Amino acid sequence: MALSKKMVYSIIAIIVTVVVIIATVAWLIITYNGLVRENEKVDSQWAQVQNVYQRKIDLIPNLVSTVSAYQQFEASTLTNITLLRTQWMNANTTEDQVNVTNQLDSQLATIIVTYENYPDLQSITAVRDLIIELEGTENRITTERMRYNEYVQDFNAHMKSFPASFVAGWGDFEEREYYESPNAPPAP
Amino acid sequence: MKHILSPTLAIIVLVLSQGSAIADYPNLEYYVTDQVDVLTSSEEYEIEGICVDVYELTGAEVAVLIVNSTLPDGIDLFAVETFERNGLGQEGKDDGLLLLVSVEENAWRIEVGYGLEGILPDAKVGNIAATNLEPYLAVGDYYTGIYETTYALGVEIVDNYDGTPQESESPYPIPWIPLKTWQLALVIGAIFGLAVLTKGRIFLLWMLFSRNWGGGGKSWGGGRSGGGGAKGRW
Repeated sequence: MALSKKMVYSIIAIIVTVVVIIATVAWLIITYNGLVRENEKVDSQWAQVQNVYQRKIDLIPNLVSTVSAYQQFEASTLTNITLLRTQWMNANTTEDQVNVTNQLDSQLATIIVTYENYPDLQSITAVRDLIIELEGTENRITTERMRYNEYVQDFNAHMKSFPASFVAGWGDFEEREYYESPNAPPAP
Repeated sequence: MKHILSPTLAIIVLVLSQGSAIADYPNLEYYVTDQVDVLTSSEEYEIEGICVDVYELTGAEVAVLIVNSTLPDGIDLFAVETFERNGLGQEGKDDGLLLLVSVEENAWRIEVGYGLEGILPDAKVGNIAATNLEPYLAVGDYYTGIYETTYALGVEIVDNYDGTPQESESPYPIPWIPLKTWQLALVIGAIFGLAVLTKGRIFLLWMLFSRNWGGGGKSWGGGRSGGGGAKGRW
């Protein structure tokens, strides 16, 4: 039985439609999963940022008890730091934590400046070790925060780009927020 | 056919080399990378010997990088980015370590991979550098400072890190080409033969490969660091 020309065309049309539908569905699934994965990466990186902050908070009692033996460090700074540590631990929301952290950072910065201004402090091993640990913690925070922002950028760019933005709309994805450092230089 | 081939090849070369041209941070070709030439090649070889030992005993990848300047990034960011781009340490274990010396800034930084943070806490790294690195750098003796520091860090890793011993890539005549002598001879023969047959056009292809192999002296494991370690000035 020979197929009529019309039938051949309709079969081709059906095949093409099916292929297009399958390709679209596959694309939707891949895009959706990609967005989910990137969103998860942002979350897990935020946990990593929290992690290194916790490390800094844990360092504070030791820092305060060690450096309070030296009069070069201002007593008021040390009191503030202890106070802010308690506030941080009692903070319930991320926003509160970030606020306290920013104040804490500026207080800790004065500790490091004091240390750098007094060479005789630098010869005391206990103080030096603590300052190295503190600097290391600061640097870890900077690093993890930078990666967090990179992941946020990846996700946001993907989410807003056409045509993935449709999937993001249907999938209820929300734009993620960058974590700006208060000490960061202004954008160019 | 022949007249189509050449332009096509040229386009392929262009496209591929574009892709690999994102190199703002140094490619670490082997354990010691000295961009300032403060070390002689035999001195580099001595330091590399320590790194090879550490790698063979524990699998940890220790690299040394000497640059003129880390600006505008600053030494902290420069170290983290160079570490990550090159992927020091095995992937997942993150057992890499980078000793970075910036000559113009009089600054050093030792960047410790996540996996080595436990055995090399910041204070310990700082003290190792204060004893072994800074005094020598202060008098311009880069070799002794870097050698002693690499050695001290290497001993810490070998003594305390429970890694997986690895086979070093160096048994080959050319360390960054994983071929035994007779295989190498075969390849060189083949390249020579092709060069004669294609009247030299094969070197276009060679350009393409050397682009991609340029950074592949040692194939690093793909590890990362999280900003741990210590830094200082002299």
